[in-house]
Amino acid sequence: MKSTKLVLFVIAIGLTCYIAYHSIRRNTLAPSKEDTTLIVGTADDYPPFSFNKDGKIVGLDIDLIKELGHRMTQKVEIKNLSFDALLLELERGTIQIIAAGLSPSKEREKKFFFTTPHISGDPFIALTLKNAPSASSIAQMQGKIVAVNDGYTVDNFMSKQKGINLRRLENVAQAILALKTGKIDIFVTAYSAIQPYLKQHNKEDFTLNTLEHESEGVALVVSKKHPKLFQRLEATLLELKEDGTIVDLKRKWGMND
Amino acid sequence: MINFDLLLKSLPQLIYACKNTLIIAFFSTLIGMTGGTLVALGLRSTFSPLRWFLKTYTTVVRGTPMVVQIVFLYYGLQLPLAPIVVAIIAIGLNSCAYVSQVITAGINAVSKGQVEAAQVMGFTHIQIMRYIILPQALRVVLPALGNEFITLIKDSSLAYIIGVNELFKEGRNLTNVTYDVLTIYLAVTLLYLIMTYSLTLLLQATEKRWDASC
Repeated sequence: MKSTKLVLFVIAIGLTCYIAYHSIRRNTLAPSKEDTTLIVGTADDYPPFSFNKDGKIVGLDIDLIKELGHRMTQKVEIKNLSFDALLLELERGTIQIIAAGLSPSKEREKKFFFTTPHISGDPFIALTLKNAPSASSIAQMQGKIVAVNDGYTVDNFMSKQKGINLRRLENVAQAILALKTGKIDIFVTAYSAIQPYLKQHNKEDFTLNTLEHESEGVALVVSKKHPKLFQRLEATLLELKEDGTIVDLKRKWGMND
Repeated sequence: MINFDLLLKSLPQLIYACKNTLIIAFFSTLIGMTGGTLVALGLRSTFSPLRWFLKTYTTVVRGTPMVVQIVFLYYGLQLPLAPIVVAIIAIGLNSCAYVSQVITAGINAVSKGQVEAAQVMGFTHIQIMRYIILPQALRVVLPALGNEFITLIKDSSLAYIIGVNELFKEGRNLTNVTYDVLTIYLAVTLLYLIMTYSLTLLLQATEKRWDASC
């Protein structure tokens, strides 16, 4: 009697899991939707590329992917994820494209397609307080507390340097506060990321030094499962570059060159 | 350091974001209370596989951080649901485990003599639960459940990790636009405090009234 109950119980649980698994599979891998819609992942924590303003996700990369969708006559569905989840979800196939101010790197290029960068010549900047010793090279950062933004291209670069006490902070705002309150000595960031801040605030408080190294630029990332989509995106991006749309977008988001 | 103009200007947007915070807290408390009561009853069941299953569930949930549970449910299980719904389920399931312990304590607080008396009078097991134990147990644990709601208002801030625009996430969004971390988080802190403190006062008032009516 007791064993029959046990067996029934196990069967019931098994069945529930089975049904749940299949309903989930069907929902995430619906092929018809993928043909008409670009499923785009972003992380709304990185102005000016992707951030949340008045409850809406906006930014240069968001505008860009919307324009691309428009030109390719496809709908655009934007999924907001946390930054560390983006590449994982792309690999898994729940999103097709990432538009979040991401930079190509050799390791990443093995696993994903990167479009031709729409932002390039983006130098790394070392930000220090005016009255503190400035730094214009890695050698001058030895023994100092240096902050970068978690997971971005600068983080990648700085993590390889030796003799630096590296702090990974979540966003530009937190790094600026840490710098102002003396928690860190230097904040290293890509110029594109610090530009919106410098536009709003007084540059005079800081010393800005350009490092020799520059970012690999900003590009869209496409899953290797969608080679055709990647080619179409590349072609349309080229179109946008040639007709000046990308320059307009850069101007709109405060990137003049 | 604090920019009061910005604080006032950002308040409407932050207050609006409190809506999501309260929605998450309310519905997860609802899941927590009903689910927690059922789990507490299930833990007393004579059917041992159910008991083992629930025991495992409460052990796992109580032994892991809530933020991990939310991330696991959203990214790990890939439920085809909106982030806010996943947050409600994750926080609700977490609450279930804790509430079940509270209810179990409440049930244990009902004296054995009453149960024995009811058995002698021919009450069935379910009737004893329904008419003798649960009404008294719930009366004992209600203040604790009110506190659970207050706790969940604070815990709901963890939903930011899967991109739900609740109060804390909205604060982050604003720091990304204004770059003023101190001012924005001061406003966020005040709003959490207003929500939790006014609820505490409300609870105290209700408790007093119950005590008077007993």
